[in-house]
Amino acid sequence: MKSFEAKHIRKRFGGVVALRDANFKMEGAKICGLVGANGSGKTTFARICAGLVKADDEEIFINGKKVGIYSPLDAEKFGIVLVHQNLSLIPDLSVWENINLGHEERSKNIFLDNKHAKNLAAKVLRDLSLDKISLNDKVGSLPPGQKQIVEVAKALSKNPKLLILDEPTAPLEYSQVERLFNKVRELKEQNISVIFISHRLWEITELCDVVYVFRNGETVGKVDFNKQPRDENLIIPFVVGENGGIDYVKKDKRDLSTAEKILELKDVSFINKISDINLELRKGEVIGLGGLNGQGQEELLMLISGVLKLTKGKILLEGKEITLRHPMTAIRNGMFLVPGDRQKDGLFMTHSIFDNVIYPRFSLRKERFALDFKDLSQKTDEIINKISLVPPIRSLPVSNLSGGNQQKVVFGRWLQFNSKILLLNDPAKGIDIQAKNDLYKLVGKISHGGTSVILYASSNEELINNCDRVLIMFEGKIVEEICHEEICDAKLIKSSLRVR
Amino acid sequence: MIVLNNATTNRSSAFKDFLKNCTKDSSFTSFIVLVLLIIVNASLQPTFFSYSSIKSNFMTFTPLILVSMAQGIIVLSGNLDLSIGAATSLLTCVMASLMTDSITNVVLLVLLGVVTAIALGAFNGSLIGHVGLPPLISTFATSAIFFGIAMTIMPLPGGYVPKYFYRWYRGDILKFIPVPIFILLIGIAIWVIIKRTAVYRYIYAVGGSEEGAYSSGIKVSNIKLMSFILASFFIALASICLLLSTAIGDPRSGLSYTLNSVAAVVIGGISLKGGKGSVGGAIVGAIILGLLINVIFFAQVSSLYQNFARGMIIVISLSIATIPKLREESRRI
Repeated sequence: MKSFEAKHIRKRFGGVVALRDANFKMEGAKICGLVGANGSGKTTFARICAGLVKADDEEIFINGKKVGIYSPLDAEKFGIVLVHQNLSLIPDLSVWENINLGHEERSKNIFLDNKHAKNLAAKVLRDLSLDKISLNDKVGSLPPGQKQIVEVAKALSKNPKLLILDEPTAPLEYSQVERLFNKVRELKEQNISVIFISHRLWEITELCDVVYVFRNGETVGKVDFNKQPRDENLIIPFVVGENGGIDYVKKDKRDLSTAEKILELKDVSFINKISDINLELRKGEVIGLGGLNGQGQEELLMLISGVLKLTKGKILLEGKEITLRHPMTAIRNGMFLVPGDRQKDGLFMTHSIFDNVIYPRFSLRKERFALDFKDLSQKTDEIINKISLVPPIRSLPVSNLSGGNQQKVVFGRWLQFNSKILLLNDPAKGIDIQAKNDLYKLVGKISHGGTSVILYASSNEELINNCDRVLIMFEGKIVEEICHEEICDAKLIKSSLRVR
Repeated sequence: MIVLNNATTNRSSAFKDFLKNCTKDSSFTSFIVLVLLIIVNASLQPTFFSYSSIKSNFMTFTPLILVSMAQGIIVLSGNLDLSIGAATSLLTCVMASLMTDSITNVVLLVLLGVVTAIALGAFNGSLIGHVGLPPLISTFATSAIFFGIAMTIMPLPGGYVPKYFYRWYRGDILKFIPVPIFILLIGIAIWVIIKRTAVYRYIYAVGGSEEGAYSSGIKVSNIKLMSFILASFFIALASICLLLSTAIGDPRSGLSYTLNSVAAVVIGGISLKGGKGSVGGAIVGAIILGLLINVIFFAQVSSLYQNFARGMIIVISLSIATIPKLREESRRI
């Protein structure tokens, strides 16, 4: 592709701005990097270019001509092919069927030419992979790394002119990454442009000719490695921001080293998602889990709350080992989870606030056979009062509440019990500032009351404002611990990206 | 010695792999059930393998097999058709209501039947694919519509089928292929042709992951429509068989096929979530269901208990058919 330019791309999802003003320009066949912190809009940008998402406002020019890309078919017409992060493969079709899916060769325009299809698949795979992937295996049975390779092979078999790779290296092993890089360089030789999206700065500096940096949905910087040295430190200021990150109000420092140890994890592992995590949580402490999205933070919270079962290691509650076979065990021991997806996992959307608040009581088996509705109503009203719910009507279905108030209900229903540990999975996702402040005020209050909190938040601001300590997770491990004095935006971003 | 050793271990491990692959296949258990049923059936009915009983068995099985193939295609695309029975009986009414003795008339009416079937399928398919209604409710509603039309055409079972035509169904082709099996072979031939087209693979793709199919550049709504249209060929064939075996048009004759075809499809190892299994499995499932009824008949179960026995056996064979799936899930924790 001679040139590709995207100007002033804007996109909102509901109330959340994904792209504010993204600009991107590529001349000639180059390998062009795209980096940015969590939620900076990289994936949305890629999906817009591939016609999977329609932008609110966009101008895309290919070879100088303005074009409209409104569906994956449109994109393919222009030779733009995306290698998906959430794979586009069909698990029950075989490898070769998947590679040819959507652009099968047909004889006489009707019948599939399976021989040609298998040959094509074999050829693309041979070019790409170190280890042998059997063409007839079902894709669903492959390990994640091989799935990713099939996804890349599928994209290559479409003969792209512009290949967009959205974090292709995340599930790959080192040798596979190297092989992929060689292939990408080969593509460049063949005059094919590549957009390479990654969190890993060392990959960007190794592979790319030019790098664009996105921050909060805006293009904030460009580094041209033909003119500038290949140095991560040139990129970091753009990712972090000019003033070294935003200055958030930090939580007061507390000395908790003498406080009682409440929870201890010893070598906790979960299949390949989490490995050997050691963690100590003291009474009243608020620990933050930081790092890029999807590095095992959510799985860790689900392990502690008994939703997932650990495959290795021990969990000690107040010094005693505890086996979590069911979320009920965790709840009875005072460990409560606020799930990441409140509509799916947190609430019974069509049921009333009252119902939602009293349901957890059943797993505590404290109720008699017949429920004392008068007493329960009173308790519910107390909670509604405590969380300052708007509107404070207990018979209202939860689905009628705003996102923030829904989250307050998920959170508030645990306040009726003596909680030892609260596990918060990105509690402020998609809620307004007022609700967010209310929520964290409550978190602060209960942590001073002696409840410990483990908080995973995708925004650094929440971690800085509320945590005594932040643990950075990367590929299922805790790789860094940031103590209270050191917590700041720049530090968190740098640690997440694994640069010094 | 060492080489030899290696070779034998290789062979035994290859055999193990083969076994493992077989048991992993979703229709493997249904094959076992089928074999068991044939054994039981043959021991209860000594003439089971005779030409005449095979012929009479297929005379009753063929409509259900064809309808199950139709349901199989639809379920593979991630949908469900509850109007299949009503559509089949409507087609028998359409054909029987206008038939006369002339051969041209018979041929034309059979073609009319096929065209009507395609129209019904297209109606169902566009409601689901393009309007976006949930298949369960929308085909439940169209089932009532089809039944209503059938009742208007033919309030009571009746119509006319020429004698030579329904006699033909009881005869043979080339003196040794019973006509029901011949019609079934036509159905299988259609399926083999469909199998070689891209649409068939896209049906799997849409059933397996709608989003994946969409981002691979497949027009999802058109594929849903196509699955219903392709299925209608089999529904048309089934209605012809039904018409010929009963020799009348009857608005109620096919109603039992709706849920029986769903059961057959599940017994045959097709996942109701779509994208998993094969139409071949649906054929096996339908034969299993047919043999079950046979077994109950020949075991001389009192007619009072026949429904109970049939239901129990379906539950048991469904449970067996889900074993591989359960094993898969337990691995996923």
